[in-house]
Amino acid sequence: MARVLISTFGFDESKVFGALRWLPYDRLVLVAGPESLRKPGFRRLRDAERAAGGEVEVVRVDPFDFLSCFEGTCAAIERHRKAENEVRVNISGGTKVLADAALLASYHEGVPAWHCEAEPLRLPGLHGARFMDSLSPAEYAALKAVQGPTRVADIVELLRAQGHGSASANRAIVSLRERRLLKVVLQRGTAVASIDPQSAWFLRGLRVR
Amino acid sequence: MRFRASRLRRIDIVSPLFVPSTGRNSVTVLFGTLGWRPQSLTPSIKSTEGLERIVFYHSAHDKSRAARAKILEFCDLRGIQATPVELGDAFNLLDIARTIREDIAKARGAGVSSIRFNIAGGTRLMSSAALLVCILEGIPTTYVHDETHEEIQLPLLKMNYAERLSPKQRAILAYLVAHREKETNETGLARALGIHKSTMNHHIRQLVAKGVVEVVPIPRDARAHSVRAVPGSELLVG
Repeated sequence: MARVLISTFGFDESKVFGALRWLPYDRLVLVAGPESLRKPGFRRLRDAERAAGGEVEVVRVDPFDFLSCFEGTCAAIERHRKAENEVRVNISGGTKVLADAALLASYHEGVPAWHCEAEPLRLPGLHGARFMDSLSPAEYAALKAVQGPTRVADIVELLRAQGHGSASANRAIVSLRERRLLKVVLQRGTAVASIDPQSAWFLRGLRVR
Repeated sequence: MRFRASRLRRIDIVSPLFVPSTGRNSVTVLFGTLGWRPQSLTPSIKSTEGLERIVFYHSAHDKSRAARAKILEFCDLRGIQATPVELGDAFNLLDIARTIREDIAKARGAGVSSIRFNIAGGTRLMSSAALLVCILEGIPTTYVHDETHEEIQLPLLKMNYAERLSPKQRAILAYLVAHREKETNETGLARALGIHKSTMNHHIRQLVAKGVVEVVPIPRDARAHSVRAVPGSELLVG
C-alpha cells in the first residue's frame, strides 16, 4: 500500500514542499491549472521528485472553476483509493477555489485533509466518513431511481419493490429535496422529481449518476 | 503581519441582534467571508430572498476594511442590518472556524431559521474554515465565481461526525477536549470515565484509527504514553 499525497498547487512550490516535509508519502499528485504547470515552481517540484526516484502525477483542472477542481480532486482520490493506497490531501497551494474544492472533495471522500504552512494542521474530520454514508439506503435508492423527470409515485413504487416502506420512501424524497439534491415540481397535479441541476455536478462526484 | 489568536478582535454578536425586526417569524441571515473585493459578497446579498441581516468576517488589512465599508454602505441603502466581525488572525483556520460556529449557534439559539453562507471572500483559510463549519452544521453554502460573479450553490450535506462515534467514544473525546491542558493516559481516562482499562484501550485504538485522538510518548518516561484529542476535534463533538 503506497502513501499518496494529493496536493493543490499554484505557483509557489514552497507550499507543497512544506507538506512534503511534514507528511510522509510515496507518491505525489499535484492538482493544478495549466498555467501553474508551465512555471518554474512546478519544474522544481518535478525535478526534486525525480531526484528522489519518484514522479509527479498531475491532475489538470481549471483553478478558478470550483466544479472542475472538485471533480479533478475526487477522481484522483477515488483512483488511488481503488488501488488501495492510503490517501491524504494537502490544500495549502493554489487558488482559494482550488483549496476549497479540494477540501470539499476530501470530506466527500472521507480522506484526511491537511493545511501545511509554518506547521502542519490536520483539518477536523473522521477517517473513512464519507458524504455518501450520510445518505440513508432509501435516499440512495431514490437518487438512483431518478433518471430524468420521474413521477414521485413511481419512485415510491420502485423503492417499495426494493423493500423500502412507503413512509421511508416519501421521507427520503423530502429529505433529498431539502438537501437540494432533488427538485420536485407539480406538473398537472402530479409531483415530478428530477435531479436539481445545481447539484448534478456534485452527484457525479458521488458516483450516483 | 500575523497576529496571535488571542488578539482576535470581533464585534460580539448578541442574541437580540437576531430578533426579527419586521415581526416575521422567518428571518434569513446571510453569513459571509470578505476579502478585498465587495463583489465576492454582493451577489449573495442581492439574491437572498427575505434577507434581514448579514454577518461577515474580514481581516484587519486596510483593503479588507475598505471592502467592509462598501458592504456596510451597500446594506444600509437596502435597509439590511450588517454586522462586520474583524478577525485578528485571518490565517488561523481553527480559531476562525470556532468563531463562526459560535456565531451560528447564537443565531440558531435566537430562533433564526434560515442561514446561508457565502464562502467566496477572505483569505484561503477564512474560506476553508467557513466551508468546514458549513459541512459540520449543514448550512447552504454559496460560492461566487471570481470573474463572472456568478453564484454557485453547493449542495446541503451535513456531516454529523458525532453520530459516527459510539456513545463511549463520544464521551472519551468530549473528556479529552474538556481536559486538553491536562496530561492524560489510558489508565487515568479509564478511571475518570469508569470504563475498564482493556475496553478503554479498544476505544482509544478506534479513535486513533478515525484520526481524532493521538497517543504520544511522554518524554520523561519512555514507557508512558499520553492520550490527547487532535487540534480541532472539539468542532466534531460540537
